Amino acid sequence: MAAAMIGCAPPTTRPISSSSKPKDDKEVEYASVGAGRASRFSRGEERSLLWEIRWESARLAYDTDGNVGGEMAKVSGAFTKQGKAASTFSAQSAKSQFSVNDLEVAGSVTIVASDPPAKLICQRVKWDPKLERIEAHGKVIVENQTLRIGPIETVYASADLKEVSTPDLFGKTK
Amino acid sequence: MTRKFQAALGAVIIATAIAAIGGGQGKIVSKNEFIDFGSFNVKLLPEKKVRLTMLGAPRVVAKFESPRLDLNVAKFEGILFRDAKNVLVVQEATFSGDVQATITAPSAKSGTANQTARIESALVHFTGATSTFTSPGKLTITRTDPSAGEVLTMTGNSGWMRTFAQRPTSASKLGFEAAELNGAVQFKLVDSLDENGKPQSSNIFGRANRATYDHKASKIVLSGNVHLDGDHPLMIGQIDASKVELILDANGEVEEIDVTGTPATATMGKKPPAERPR
Repeated sequence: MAAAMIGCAPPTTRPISSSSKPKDDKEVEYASVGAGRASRFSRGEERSLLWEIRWESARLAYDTDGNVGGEMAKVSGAFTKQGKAASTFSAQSAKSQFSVNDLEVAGSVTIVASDPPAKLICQRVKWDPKLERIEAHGKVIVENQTLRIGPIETVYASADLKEVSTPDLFGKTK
Repeated sequence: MTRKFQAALGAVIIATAIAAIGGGQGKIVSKNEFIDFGSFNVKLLPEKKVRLTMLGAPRVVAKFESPRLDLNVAKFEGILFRDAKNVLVVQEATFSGDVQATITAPSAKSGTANQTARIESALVHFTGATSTFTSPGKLTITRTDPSAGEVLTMTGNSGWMRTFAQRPTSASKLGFEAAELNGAVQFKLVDSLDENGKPQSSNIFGRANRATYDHKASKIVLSGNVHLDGDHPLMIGQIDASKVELILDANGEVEEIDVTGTPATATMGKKPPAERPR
């Protein structure tokens, strides 16, 4: 099993399959790995947990500075609020890049929060840990104890799904 | 209004709009519930409640079931929850933007047919605990009972209407429990059918400073500079008084007119109504 601190440390398992030089001349190496998990933390002293992910297979990429990104298949994980897991997700695939902390998840995405219970189903999600915002796209359906909403093309939600909204009203109501 | 019940506005709602990116249209789909709207925001609250905000594109259309309420507004803001029977309950709400809130109740003459009472205003607050719609501004209450051939229209500068906490199962006079309108009240009662359902002309028009209706008291009270006109059999002519009570029978029809106060004048005689407020 591979374990990685994505963006902070390379994976512990490195079956390197290829290498290349991107435009900035940094050496990038690719590794196809089996099942594994990774966590992304913010930089700096605080090192707050931004997201967690597990995968069944992945093609990870990392450069000589230790930045890690990659594409992962059959994933599950957690989105965070103030450094703590606020909801869990599962999907067919996920993608992480070197330079940004966002996580993109796609394919039969299901996000579940437990306190209070709520669920979001859609086709793809961009998780923005800086804003602690889930951007859900494609036939979005949201369920909570009172309402079932959808399908809608685009919905924004907080990590704990306590706020769910069309983009124009997200964060703008009392 | 010290009622103990929590009015259950059973929901909801019809949606036909298909999604569009950018806060676009969508729909809420629940068990037997739908809402038409353009944008929404849901926040989960303690005790399994939600705060729901909806903007129309251009209108928010909701259909509640208990009492039967059809809502057509530009904006809806409210706190909702589900009761033990999974009925969506509106605890409180504010409707704005050319509000049309229409409740349905059994006809005054037939328990099988329906009548409606609609409140229209720019802004309406709904309080579920008392089943009351309150408007701080100009409002119109229109009660329409096709089976009885009756249309009652009252407008005022402010007022409220209280619905029955639970939908009546039998004839319900005016279809709502109570109402009050204040300031420059315009009153119009048109009864186009007689007791046998044949066409007739029986109308009361007028104005007053205040109008109230109470289902239990079974009367409409007009007060303050009351002026009435019309061709109703009980008042062919005109009435000027400080207070006029229109006593309703079990079917919601005017069976008695009581005029009190000073001055109280009545000019009786057959003549066409001289004043017909729009």
